[in-house]
Amino acid sequence: MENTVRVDCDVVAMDELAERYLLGGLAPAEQDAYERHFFQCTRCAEELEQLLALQRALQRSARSADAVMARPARARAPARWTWLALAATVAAVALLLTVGRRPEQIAQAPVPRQNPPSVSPVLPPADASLPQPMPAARPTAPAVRDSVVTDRAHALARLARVDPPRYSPLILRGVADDATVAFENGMKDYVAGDYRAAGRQLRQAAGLDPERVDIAFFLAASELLSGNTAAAVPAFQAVIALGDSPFLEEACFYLAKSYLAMGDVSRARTEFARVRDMGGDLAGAAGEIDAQLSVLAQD
Amino acid sequence: MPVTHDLQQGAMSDEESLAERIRSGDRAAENELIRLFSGRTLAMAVVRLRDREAARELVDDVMMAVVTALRRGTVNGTDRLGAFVYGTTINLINNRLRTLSRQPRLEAFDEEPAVPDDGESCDRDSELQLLQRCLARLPAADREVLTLSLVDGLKPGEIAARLAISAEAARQQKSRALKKIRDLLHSVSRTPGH
Repeated sequence: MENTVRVDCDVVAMDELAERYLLGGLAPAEQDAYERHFFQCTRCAEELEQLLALQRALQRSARSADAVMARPARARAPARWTWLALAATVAAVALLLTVGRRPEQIAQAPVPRQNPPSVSPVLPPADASLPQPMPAARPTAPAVRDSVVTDRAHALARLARVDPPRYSPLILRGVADDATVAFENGMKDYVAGDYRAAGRQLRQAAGLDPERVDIAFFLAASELLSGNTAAAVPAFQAVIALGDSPFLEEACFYLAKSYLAMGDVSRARTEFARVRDMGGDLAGAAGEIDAQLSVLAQD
Repeated sequence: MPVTHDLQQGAMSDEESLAERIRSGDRAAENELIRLFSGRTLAMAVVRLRDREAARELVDDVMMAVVTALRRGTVNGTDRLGAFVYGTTINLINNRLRTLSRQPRLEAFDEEPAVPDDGESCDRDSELQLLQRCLARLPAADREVLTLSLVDGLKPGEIAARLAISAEAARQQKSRALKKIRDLLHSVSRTPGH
């Protein structure tokens, strides 16, 4: 049968052909005509490909949400919240024991070292899987103070812990430029967990293309993950200054973590509140941490 | 006058040149052709086969057939490569559907319908990850509208009824959300070829 339906870019946009096509909602003749069109038109093809990928991402998110809802309530919280719950407990204990401490004591408090699955940029946490034993007898005043300082530092250190932002390489069209090559090299180190080496490569990449938001973000993340929080703060601020991007929410969140790692609770709370107000995927996490910082700040 | 961007109008010589480069054995040109057409071929295969894994295999078959034909110089009208790739795709899809219709179905009739699978190749994973970052940047209400529209297949009127808003508001919200996603994607895709 002859195809009499005429499709051009205007018709595609006006009749929402891409969306209806993906949902199987076009009549056969319309479908044929649209397919012929997007095989001739790169712009319409790109819009269709983007919509197909978006549909896939939404399907996956919807399925993840369904899976979470299907789980028993106790199992719903992601593993990383376990340490937050513990941190809350530690914070509550710290509050009960609060006796005349000063901020500088907190920042200097020693914390036992442990290899965590996630990264604590400044103060490595104590074993997050075990509650800290309480003293058998009431300690003397200086011992109490030391204990309080240590406990609060534990709580802050735990709240400052970060999971490395996930990365897998984006396959891009065309020939990679120098910045992309440097970025990809840096991300190989990043994926391997060598954040210092990644930082070196990514600094070079950022120098070549300062406006590439993905480079800027993973550079900032590498600074934070390698313990260079003083560099991480301006690096995340630079990502935020680039404006709205897929990395904006995470940049604010990790900036808050960077402040926390530096012991600047006030700025950290401002950033966590910002993330919470964005209403994205990290809003819940930011709100929880902010609430716990609020408890810690009440002394 | 119909509006169609590039391949029919401005890029004809590019297509002929691409075909010529492939005929002369330029591997980079073959990759360029695959990058140019594999996405739209995949979209068509997913829609027509309703099976993402089969669609991926079909994309490989189409690209192999097209590249082989171009290497041999047996393609007429290389200024319309898109039409040639389209023709090859529709032929292979029809072959696949005919084969499937001849195969006895051993599965139970009430099996789950074939929907996009969970298995992802690395490149698609990265796209997915980027899109999920973009989605996370949207307000929950926008994500809801997109899900109702693109996953559940609801029309603006149905979305409006579900969310207790007007159909026009639902349409506008979806349109804004899509624009926001495109803007976000644009912010990380300023690389050659994009």
